[in-house]
Amino acid sequence: MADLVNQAHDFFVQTPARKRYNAVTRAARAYCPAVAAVLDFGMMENSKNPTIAFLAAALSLVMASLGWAAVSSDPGEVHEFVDRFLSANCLDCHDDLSTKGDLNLLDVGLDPDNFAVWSSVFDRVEGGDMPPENKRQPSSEERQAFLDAISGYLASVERDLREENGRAMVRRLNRKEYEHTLRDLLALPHLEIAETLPPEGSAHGFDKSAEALDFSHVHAGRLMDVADEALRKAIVSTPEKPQSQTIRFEVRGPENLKQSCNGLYALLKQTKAIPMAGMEIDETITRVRGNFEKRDPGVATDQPPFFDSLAIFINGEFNLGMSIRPFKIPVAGYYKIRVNGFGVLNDHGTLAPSERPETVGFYSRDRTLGFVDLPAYQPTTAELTVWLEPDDVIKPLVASSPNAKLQIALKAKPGTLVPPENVVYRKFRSHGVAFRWFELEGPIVEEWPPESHRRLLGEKGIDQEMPLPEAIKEARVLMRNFVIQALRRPILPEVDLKIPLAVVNQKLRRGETFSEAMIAGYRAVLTSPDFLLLAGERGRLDTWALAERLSYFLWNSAPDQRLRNLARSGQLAEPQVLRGEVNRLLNHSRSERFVEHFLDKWLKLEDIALTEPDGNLYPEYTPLLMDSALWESRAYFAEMLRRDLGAAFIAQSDFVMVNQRLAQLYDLPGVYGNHIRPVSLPTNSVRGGFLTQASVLKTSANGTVTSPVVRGHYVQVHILGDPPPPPPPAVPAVEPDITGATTIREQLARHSEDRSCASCHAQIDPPGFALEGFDVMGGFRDRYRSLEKGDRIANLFFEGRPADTRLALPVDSSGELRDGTPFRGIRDFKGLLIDRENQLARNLLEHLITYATGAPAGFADQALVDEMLAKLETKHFGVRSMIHALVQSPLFLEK
Amino acid sequence: MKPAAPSSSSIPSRRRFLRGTGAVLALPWLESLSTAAETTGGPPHRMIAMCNDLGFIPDYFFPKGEGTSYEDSRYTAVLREFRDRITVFSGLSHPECVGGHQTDKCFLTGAIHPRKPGFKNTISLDQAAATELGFSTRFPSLSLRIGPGGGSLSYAANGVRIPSEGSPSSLYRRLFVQGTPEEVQRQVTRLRDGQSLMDNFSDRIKGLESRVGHADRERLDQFFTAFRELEQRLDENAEWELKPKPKVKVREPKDVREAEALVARTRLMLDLAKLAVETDSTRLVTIFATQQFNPKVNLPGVEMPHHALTHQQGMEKSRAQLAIVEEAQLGEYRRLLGSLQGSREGDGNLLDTTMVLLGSNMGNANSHANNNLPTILAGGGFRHGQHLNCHQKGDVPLANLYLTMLRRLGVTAERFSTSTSPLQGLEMT
Repeated sequence: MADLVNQAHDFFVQTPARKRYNAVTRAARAYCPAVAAVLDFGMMENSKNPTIAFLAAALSLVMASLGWAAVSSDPGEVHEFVDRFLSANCLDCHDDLSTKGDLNLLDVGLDPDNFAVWSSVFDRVEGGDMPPENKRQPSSEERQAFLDAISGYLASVERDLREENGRAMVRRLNRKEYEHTLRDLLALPHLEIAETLPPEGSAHGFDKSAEALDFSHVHAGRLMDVADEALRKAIVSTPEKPQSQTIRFEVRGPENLKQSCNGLYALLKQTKAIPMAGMEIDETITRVRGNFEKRDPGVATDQPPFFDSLAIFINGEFNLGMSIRPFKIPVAGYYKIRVNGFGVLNDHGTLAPSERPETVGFYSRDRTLGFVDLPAYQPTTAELTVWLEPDDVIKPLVASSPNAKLQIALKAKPGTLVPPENVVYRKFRSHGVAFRWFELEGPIVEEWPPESHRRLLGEKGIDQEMPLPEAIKEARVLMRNFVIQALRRPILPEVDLKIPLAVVNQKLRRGETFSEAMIAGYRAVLTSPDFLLLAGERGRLDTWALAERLSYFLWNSAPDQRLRNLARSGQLAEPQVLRGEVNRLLNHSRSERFVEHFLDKWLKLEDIALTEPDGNLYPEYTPLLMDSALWESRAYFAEMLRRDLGAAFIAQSDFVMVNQRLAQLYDLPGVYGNHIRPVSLPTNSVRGGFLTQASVLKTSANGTVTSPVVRGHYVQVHILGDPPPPPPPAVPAVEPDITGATTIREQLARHSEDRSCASCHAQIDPPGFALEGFDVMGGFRDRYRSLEKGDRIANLFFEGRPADTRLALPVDSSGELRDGTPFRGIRDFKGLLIDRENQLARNLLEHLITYATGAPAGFADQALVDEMLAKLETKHFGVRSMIHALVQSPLFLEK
Repeated sequence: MKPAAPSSSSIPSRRRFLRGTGAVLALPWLESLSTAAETTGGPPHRMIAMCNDLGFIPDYFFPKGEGTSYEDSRYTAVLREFRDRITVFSGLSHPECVGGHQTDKCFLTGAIHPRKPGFKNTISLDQAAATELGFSTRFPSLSLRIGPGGGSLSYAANGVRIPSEGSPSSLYRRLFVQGTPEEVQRQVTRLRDGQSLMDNFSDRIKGLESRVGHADRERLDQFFTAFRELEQRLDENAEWELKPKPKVKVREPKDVREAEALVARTRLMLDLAKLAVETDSTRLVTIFATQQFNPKVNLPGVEMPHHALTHQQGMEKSRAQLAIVEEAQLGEYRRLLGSLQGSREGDGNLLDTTMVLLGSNMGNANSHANNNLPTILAGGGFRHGQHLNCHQKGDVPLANLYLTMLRRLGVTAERFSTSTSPLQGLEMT
């Protein structure tokens, strides 16, 4: 026992406050099986008054096993112990007289109604925030005994609740899940409907819990519209297979441009684009500047031989009208977009050498279609296959260009010839792309009617006429097949076909067309509670519910045929089979949905675009940079999954997943092209891990500035799983001063002179200090940028003109953790994080638990969580192993 | 311009409401309701209620002095031309409703302890009125949002959030764009089909409920209620679908996507709110202006993000920038009052019959305080022109004002949320 006491002592000294109790309980379990047995027994058997009995049992045994014979098993004495602890340590401030923080503990009995209060008391005492530093502190043994008593009690309350309901409450599909489910069910891989459903709420950080997924009549109504829209998209109206066509647009001569693309012609007239003949600038073009007052649009003229390509330098469209007009989309489907051209570097009207390829982005109205690379000065054809809808347009832009637009005035009198020395392209330096021609080929149809149509109407056309009896018979066959696919459980024909077939038959009898009747029937399925609700009854999930939970976890969609077969046969219940399925699902491309959605929520990457960096301060920030940042994080997490990389990789790695744009930002030479690939980091790099990815740095900043408080809070919540207490009322926040006169560190230092501020900020700020070396777009910095003070940054351009961005005060990214451990910067800090691998792993696991099951890891789950972590430790908490462990645990296998 | 109210008066729809939801809902205030609207004659009363989730600088908001001779504050000065059409309130708040920014969902409900886990919201002012007034208009109510996210001011009787519309263009289409005859017919058929479905679905939910525990049963009740409510609405919706939508001269607006364009976004929404009321498409509008996502506002002189500014109102420079933003917000409110006043109706104008509430769930966004909520009510036929300081020993429930407003809308309720009485000091003209 002395061993245990020593260990416990070391543990208290060395382990950061959070989650200590779990480890102590684990230690007690390990050293004293009797404790564990009674712990469990106490929780199960004393259902009438579990509180007191459990408190007594837990307290006395834990304490006895740790060598402090302080409390007997008498419930009265337990209460007395808690009372004594509260009187000695808490009631000075939290009684009916002071009620600090609006908390009067005399008023809050230990009963289930006060669960929330006690759980926050637990957090604050466990986190070391309470009692506050300047008050008398309980001994660590007393503190621990108190925490054990409270957590044990709270766990028992949770268990009681779960007896009735299970861990997770019944919930509906969220809008993303609904979209993916319909995509897979209807064979419409590019269906976009989530945005037309109401936005979802959030609970425990995710939209995967009942609490986040309200359901009102608005939802019910909107679902009907959305289901209808999706079904109509699945059905084709023409019996003949549409013919593929190839449309070509040559970027040759002004007339051609004028006919086919307003934007390119406008850029030519404004002299913001460079016409080229072969590989030389074509200087023979003349331009007459328009006259707005006379409604004269101006003109650009060229004599044959015409210029045969046009180099442009913008990544944004504004009002140019960049759509390629001949590219019309007759029917929805896959199309090939081809572009021929080459990258250029315009240096004030001469073409400078460039090594890097440039990235062309194709866009429709509100949608990015895709990207292709073109090498510098080598005319090349690149191809992109995209899904297009009839109202789509196709707009080409230079995604790799730094300019959203070129804000350089054209000096020429309205209605006159533009003097050659005034052409705008002689006034700036920028990478760009010379376009020679574009092609659109499609639709590319392999089978007709397409799969989506056949799933709903078989080989019948939209106008198929049939005698009523035949139609009714046919409807039953089709509907049965559909319902089998749609419902994620064995179907009961009498129940599950009744409603949709009643709808269909009524319509058929009224003389409506077969396809209209079927659509109405299918809609009834897609909006029914059986389709919307995720099933599962209390206790162990049956294999159908298990298959459903698994596929909504890793695919955000319904189980596929193989999973359904395994559910039907019951084999899915076998651990090895389940393990195999987890691997299969993770290896399937549909797991990208999990990666994207999980990161969107866990690291809040969905908020990355909520703010836009100030263009004057961060002219390098482009839409492509933001896209690339998201790609990086997704690719990195996918790599962690693929290679089973561990929790330490959240903090640090010796590689990054980057493309050319990110490599520029991260200062990694020799990375060309837009595709994301692993790149090894030099040994002293500040990069590696999630923390220093542009996506995280952007999301945790706001547009203009970074704040160590905001970033510190972000790291505490999302990376360490240790949310700091909310700010006390009536304390103003501290925000950076962008005039360049003072640094945020100086301001925070002043803020923290106040003792009441200092204690919390000592916890919140340090991770933020470590990240001070990174600006709002994720670039590394050793001096803050400013628009007022400091030295101007050379060779930085904003919209074509030299930027007035300056480097002001130096950055200090050193700090110390609350326990006094110092760090000199981000690299040191990451080292300290890796020392807390266990905490990183626990945080990730707890996020996965919420995501996968819809219920957060509660007090009653801690024993299981500890057990999983203990086993995972030997595998360095690999993410894939973690998912396996979670899926095989009762947390996942039971409701 | 204004279509006549359809023949279905509010009475049958109320009856249907009670029939439909009586099984699962028990609303304390419902027992004492009776319908007054439509029987009193004269133009109907309307409400536009707006919440700015970052509040207003208290020193610039609250005027000095009380009663009719109050001295304008910096912000009430923005509304000077409407001085006799507005009342500025101080000393109002929702009792037991603290929790910083999380109180936004209680702004129109007054539900207590929003931060508490397991918190369940209650019905919002607009929905309380909508349930009563029913389908006198195409939309019983409109829940709008200025800004991103899923927030809303409107909550159904069971505390379920009614999603808000954040896109002016899609709102415009719902209000004014008539489908082709085939589209209309298809929509009507869909609505009629839906009705019988909903009935089947609610039966199905009842079947599921028998197999689950208490917490799940509560969740399933939400579905039951939603299906029931939709069932009642579909019939009315189908009727409305067949009637031509009002024609307006304004063209479909383009949505403002730039995060920074608070003013442009606000103006688009308020313009549409006014059009919706003017065309009698609805009589109840809620507007949640949410800026917590912290963009910089693109107004000259503003350099720092909005939310950040609220947290350093103590610094003179920040305070000045924040005031620019808030004055602009009040300017848009003034514009709304002006355009309502400019819209004639009978002998008067729309502002006479439209209560326009501007308030916030934050008394002081700097310190996350939720007391002394900045509140202004304009129009609606009250005797305005005053600064009404309600503060006595403590704040008076904001729900008292809501009760007064609810009655103004024609609902004779005894209580709303935490109200203790109608608000003293605010009289009808």
